[in-house]
Amino acid sequence: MSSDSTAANVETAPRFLVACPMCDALQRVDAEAGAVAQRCFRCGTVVRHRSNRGTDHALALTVAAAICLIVGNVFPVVAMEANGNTTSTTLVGASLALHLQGMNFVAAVVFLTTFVIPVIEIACVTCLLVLARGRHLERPTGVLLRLRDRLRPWNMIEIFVLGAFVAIVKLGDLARIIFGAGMWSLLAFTFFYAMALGAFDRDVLWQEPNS
Amino acid sequence: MTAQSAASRGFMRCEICGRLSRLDGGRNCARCGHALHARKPQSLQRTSALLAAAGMLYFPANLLPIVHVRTATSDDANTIMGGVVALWSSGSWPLALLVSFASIFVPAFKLLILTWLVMSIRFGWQSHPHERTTLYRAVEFIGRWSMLDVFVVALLVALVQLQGLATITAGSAAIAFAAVVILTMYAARSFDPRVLWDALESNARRAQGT
Repeated sequence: MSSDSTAANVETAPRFLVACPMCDALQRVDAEAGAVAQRCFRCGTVVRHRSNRGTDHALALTVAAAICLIVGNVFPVVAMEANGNTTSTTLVGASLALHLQGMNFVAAVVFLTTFVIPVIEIACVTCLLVLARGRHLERPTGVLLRLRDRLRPWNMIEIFVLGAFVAIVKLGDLARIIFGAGMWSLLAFTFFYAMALGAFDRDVLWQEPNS
Repeated sequence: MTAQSAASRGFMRCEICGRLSRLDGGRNCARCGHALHARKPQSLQRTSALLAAAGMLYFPANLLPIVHVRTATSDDANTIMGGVVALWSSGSWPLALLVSFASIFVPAFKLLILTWLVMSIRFGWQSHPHERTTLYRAVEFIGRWSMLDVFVVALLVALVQLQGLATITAGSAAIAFAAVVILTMYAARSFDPRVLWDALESNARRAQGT
């Protein structure tokens, strides 16, 4: 009896029915709800998150984050002064130094997680938002969303920023350490990008909204 | 309200776009084109294999030196634990706690929790699904932060190149450590937390006698 009514609702109003990504509990969500996170009644995972900031707001923050990422890669992250010698390093310089010591695997991990993947991921999010403002092309949106889902855990800029703080304290006794412009840009990147993702409303990607 | 899984009602959720599809509807999501699965394929086997590999590499990661510090008079090889002790004795105990948390505690925590979750499914345990889901969520969330030490090493290596005074080079533990982080992240991702709830449901169905 209940199975019939569930099935009927999926046919007529699919937007009301979702499955929890953590526990697979089938449940209804309020399709008209505003910017509130709706949680799974069984395990508490967010099953639907909407934002009323608008696509332009999210796009502006994403572009700001992209600019910070570029600046953060061009300028040195940290500089060190000891006995009149100054050495500084950029983000890419850190992985290059590892490569020059023959640590190619570690160099590749650092290069991918702090440069290549963040750049591709932010390009993906920008394209998704541009598509959402325009014609809602489903295939490219699906491809971009899938690529971004694969890359997301490997974007480690914020961990790198914390690592720079640790490195600075470790070297504090040895030499005078200066934060570079790159460091502040990367810090700004983490904030702008977190805000952009908070304003990113996944429902605008599709013409037929469904969590 | 008793919970019913989407799979038991003949639906599967697209893991990319969230759309529900019928189990017999087709192999790919009609909206975004992603391959559909009611549960992640071979999740227990994949997670177990990745965990075994990560567990083996955990030992060289902690026992071998992660950095070599060469000065005019000395050549020190530091392990991860040695770095933590150095931070502690130099007075920066908050950072010593942070680094020991990210580099020693978190990788061990991830290995133990994921192993325990895999075992709980293999043995068909039904108790505490909420707590087990919370542990899985914690593993997924903090797993990335173990990479901290790799970035610290990269920056030290790039900065401390004072010819004649001091140079720092990366040690072989850096390779093992980065591999542990990557393997445990993949292990967490290939694990399917929905399976934690499936035992509960099949038991409820049995109890109803249907």
